[in-house]
Amino acid sequence: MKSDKKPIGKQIASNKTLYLMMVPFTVLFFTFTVFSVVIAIVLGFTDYNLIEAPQFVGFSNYVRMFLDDDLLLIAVKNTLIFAIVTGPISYFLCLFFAWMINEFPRFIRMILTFVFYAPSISGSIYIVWTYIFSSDSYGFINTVLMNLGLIADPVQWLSDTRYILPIVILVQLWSSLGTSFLAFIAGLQGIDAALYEAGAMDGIKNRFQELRYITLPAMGPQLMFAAVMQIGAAFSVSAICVALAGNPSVDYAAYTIVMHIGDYATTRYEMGYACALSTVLFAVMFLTNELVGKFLRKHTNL
Amino acid sequence: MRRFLAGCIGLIMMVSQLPFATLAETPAVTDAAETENISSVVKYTDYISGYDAAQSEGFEQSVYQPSQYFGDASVTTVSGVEATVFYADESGAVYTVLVPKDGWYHIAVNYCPLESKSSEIQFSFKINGCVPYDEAENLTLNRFYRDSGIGFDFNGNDIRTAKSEIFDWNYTPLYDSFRIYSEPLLFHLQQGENQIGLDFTYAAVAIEYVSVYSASKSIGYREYTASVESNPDLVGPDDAVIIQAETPDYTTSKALYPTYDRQSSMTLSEDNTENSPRFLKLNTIGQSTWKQPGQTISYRFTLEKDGFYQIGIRAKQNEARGIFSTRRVRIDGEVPFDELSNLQVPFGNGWQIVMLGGDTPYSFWFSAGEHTIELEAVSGILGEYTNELEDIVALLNNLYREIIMVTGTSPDTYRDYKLERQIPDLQERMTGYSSFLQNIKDDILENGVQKGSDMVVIDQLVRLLDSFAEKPRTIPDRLSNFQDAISSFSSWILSLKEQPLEMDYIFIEKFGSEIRDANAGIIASVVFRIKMFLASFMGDYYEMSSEEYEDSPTLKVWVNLGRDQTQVISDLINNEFKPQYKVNVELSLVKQSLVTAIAADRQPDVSLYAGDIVNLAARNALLALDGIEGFGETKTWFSENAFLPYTYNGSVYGIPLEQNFLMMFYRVDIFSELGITPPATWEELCAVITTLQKNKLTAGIPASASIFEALLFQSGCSFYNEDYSATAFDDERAVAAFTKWTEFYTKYRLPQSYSVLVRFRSGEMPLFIDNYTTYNTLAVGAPEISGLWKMTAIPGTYDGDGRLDNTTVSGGSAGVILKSCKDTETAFSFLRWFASADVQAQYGINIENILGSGSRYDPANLEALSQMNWSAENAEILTAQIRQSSFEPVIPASYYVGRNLNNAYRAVTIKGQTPREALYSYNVDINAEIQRKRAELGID
Repeated sequence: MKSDKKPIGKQIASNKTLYLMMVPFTVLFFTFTVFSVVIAIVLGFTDYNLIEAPQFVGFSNYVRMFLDDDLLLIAVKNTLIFAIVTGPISYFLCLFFAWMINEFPRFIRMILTFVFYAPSISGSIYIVWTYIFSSDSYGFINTVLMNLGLIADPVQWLSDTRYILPIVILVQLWSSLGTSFLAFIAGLQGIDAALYEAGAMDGIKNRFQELRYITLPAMGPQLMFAAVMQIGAAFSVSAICVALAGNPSVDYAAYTIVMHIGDYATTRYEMGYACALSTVLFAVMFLTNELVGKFLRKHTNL
Repeated sequence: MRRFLAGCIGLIMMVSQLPFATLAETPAVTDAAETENISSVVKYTDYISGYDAAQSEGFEQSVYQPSQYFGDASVTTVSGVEATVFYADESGAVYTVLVPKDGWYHIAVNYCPLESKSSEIQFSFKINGCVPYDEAENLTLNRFYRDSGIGFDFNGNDIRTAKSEIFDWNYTPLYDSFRIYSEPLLFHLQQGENQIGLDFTYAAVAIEYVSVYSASKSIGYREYTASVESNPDLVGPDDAVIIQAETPDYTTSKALYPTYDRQSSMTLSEDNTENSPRFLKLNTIGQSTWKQPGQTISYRFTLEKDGFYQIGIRAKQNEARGIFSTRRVRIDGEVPFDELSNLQVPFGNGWQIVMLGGDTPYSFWFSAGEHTIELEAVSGILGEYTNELEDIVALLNNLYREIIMVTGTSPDTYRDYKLERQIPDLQERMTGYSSFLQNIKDDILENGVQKGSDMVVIDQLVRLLDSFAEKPRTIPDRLSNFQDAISSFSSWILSLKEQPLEMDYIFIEKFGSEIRDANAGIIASVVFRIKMFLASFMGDYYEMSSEEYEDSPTLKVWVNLGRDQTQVISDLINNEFKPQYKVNVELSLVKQSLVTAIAADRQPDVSLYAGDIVNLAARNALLALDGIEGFGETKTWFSENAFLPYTYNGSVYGIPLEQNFLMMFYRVDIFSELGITPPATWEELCAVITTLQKNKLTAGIPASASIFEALLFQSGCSFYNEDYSATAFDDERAVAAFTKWTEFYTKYRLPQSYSVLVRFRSGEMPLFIDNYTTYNTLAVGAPEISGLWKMTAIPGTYDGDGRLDNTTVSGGSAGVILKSCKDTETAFSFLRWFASADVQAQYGINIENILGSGSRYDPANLEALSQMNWSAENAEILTAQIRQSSFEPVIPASYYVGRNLNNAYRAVTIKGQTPREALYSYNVDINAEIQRKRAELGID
């Protein structure tokens, strides 16, 4: 996003059509993304209830965050479980399905791509799971289990703390074959067939060696892109939790950092603290991205 | 065909010697004969076949003076005519008629509706002291409304004008209230004196005379053509007369107002011009409102020349899939020939031209001059089946309940319950119902309903019943299928009763004209759509009204409701508030929270139905109302505790608008069958639950904190301590209340989530507690159990003096004034005007007219509540209960109370913690948060 180095005036003048073309995006990006991020960082140092003017309070929001917020611990714990389980699993699922689908003939590939991609384009389709896991004795799973004689009373799936998080994770996995999956498919198709021929000559023995030494390294940019998307998604999961388990869920069983931020920003009228929280979340996500990026750069042609 | 069918079924039943009443009679009687709700058991069809067909001929007599009257009936002069006047509900009169011989007679009345808050006139009809058949129990007379044409708003869009009632004399024969039979009702009178009684349940009507006349044979189209002018060359002029449907002479319902059609460019506006791509034109009538049988729209038109004409309408019927919508057409006050009693409009996605007579239009003889044409929604042929279908739903539900009384709702699949031995005639009954359904289905199909429509629900049920009868062992396994099939079946019956039709215009043109096109060609339609899309960039659709008076203050008002509701409010403001106060109101529909608007400094002056009032007040965003002049009086309009949720730090910040509270609902039939009475106290409730559970039935106590609150308030304990700095949950009474509440789910194992509509109608859950507006959902959604259930106060607790404390728990919303408002005096007078009894009542009634009785309004204003369309009995219960209602007080940390109460409740019911321990441990969290919030807001 930055412009080039020294004789700026001249450079801009010589490339003015290019700059002109960048203007619409740049303006929007700066007003609605960069500007908001900066504002959030600033508001993180204030006490702001959205209605009255913000008061500068120094680091007290951060002090409170690290020393006096029990709920944050629960939220961090849940988010980490979430990120660790869904992030890598769904990343590798995407990769696996993309790789598998890529082997099929064109027509079947098209259909399968659509089938796997459908849950993530259909918006809030995950609410069907509230019917499947309904606590009513006429809910789908309860009915089946009761008919099989496995349970006698309906299980309160989405209010029993033992089940809430696993169910939400399951649903998240189901709906996570999204953009990264498409990126992988595109990446796989973009690999030059000559590479595989050359690999065969150089003694590649099986498909897995092919995957390890040719396919993956050649897909560097897609892997990076997907990783960024997945990390972002895993850390900021909240809509599914709210839809399935309510906000807040029973005993905060599916309470994530983003829900915690939302809780402070809207329900509790403590925007300053919410901004401080999101600043930290932003930093954590940024660091994780760097880490993964470093790893990928080492192992692919990025 | 129908009578033959009923006969057949009767025969089947007799042959198999079933112990229960034949289907032709009211079957619910087997279960509910003892209950007071069913007073008459004879159906009209049986009544008619019960007497011989002796026709009386040529008799007509009008009786002016009643021989006796009761209630507050009196004889006075109404607009120059001497008449008997009935003002209050529960009044009536008896007329004596002398008929020359035994036979069939029609009855007609000449009446004039009088001003009343109720929108209907309803009475039961008696001959010699008893109601002759079921249908005569509830007869209705129409009221008539007229608006003052179509208006414009400042955007150039059409707006509706207010409807006012016409109080005029009308002569009408008595029809059944669902308009199932095309002839007026027949009554069998004996030779000599007969006493004819009218008992009004909803009144305010004057009756000049009651007329008794012989049933005469109606004529068909052929006889009609033979009776009029014989020279077929006399046809009307070339130019058609077009009557715009949106400008009726009168309608019989306030809900029949002009509607917008934005779909077709060919839809003509009031001035016969084509649809506008830019402006909202009120160019049709009846869209999704003209479907209740009996609703009539009448038009006047003038013809220049004598001659033969043909009549058609441009109409749309896109709601009743697979079936047709029926209208009765009257010309100059009478149905000219039989065929016009049943004008059928088939289902279709778009507009259609419906010619009277179809592809070969009827020719009508008209003389020059003024005429009227009237269209009335009637149930028609399909309506005849709904009675029988509803009976069978009741029977099926009984059967379902008998089964679950043996198996319970979650039967053990591995056990053989030997249902066929436990329940008398199980298999015979099932095959009986199934063949009955099959016959009805065939019959309906013969009557022109398209196959493959929603009739699959019958097939499903038939298949299920047949396989049940064949293998009764599999019944417990598929019980939920059975329940699902019954409930989709009954909602299908509900849809059969509705006769939706939207009408654009009626045309009367020279006989023999070519039939016109209903829709524009593809290119014209596409062009229209593109124009519409472009026009959508102009004009503000959220702005509902604007300035009118120069040099007057302007009030900015936001409404947090749907579009229909906002439109009603807008109409009220335009018609009543603006002219009275000479203040401009800028009304907008905004579903966003006020917070962001305040943060951006774009807030309104007044917000109606706002949320989160205390939190806004605590942060200095709202205006305290108790200092304003006139507030004291306003306070008396509401129940004592109504301001509790809008009070912060001793000041009131909102005026209550809606208030909904818990009531208890129970099935009268099942309760009397089991020999129990509705519980008055919580202890009695526990006893009732035990009885129900012994019979494998259950009760519905909502797993929400409101039950805890009811128990808490009734025990005399408050929610918070005096200065709201901590909860009162460490009080022994609070622990007791919490324990009692959680015991419903631990000790009694009541279901924690359930669908009331499904389980109450099937009888599996004959008692439940819920918000009182559930009454409307049930009344509309479960017609097959109507009259079999009642609403009453929730269980209470006896206090020290032996008085029963029935305090119930409410929720609600309010109107607020924002602190930034400059003209607080005007803002308060607006808020006060909107919260006043008249306006709230009018708003509620208009909303009910538009959205149907399923969405009856729940005003907080006591006077307005009593003016909603509740029956006298329910109105009394509700007004008594709203006075004994309380709210959970709201503090800035309230969000934390609710969620932790829920956590405590789950800890008990799921994790098995002891109630005391759970409540205490979560209470610590709550109190810590309350302290934190108080520190943040600088209280103490």
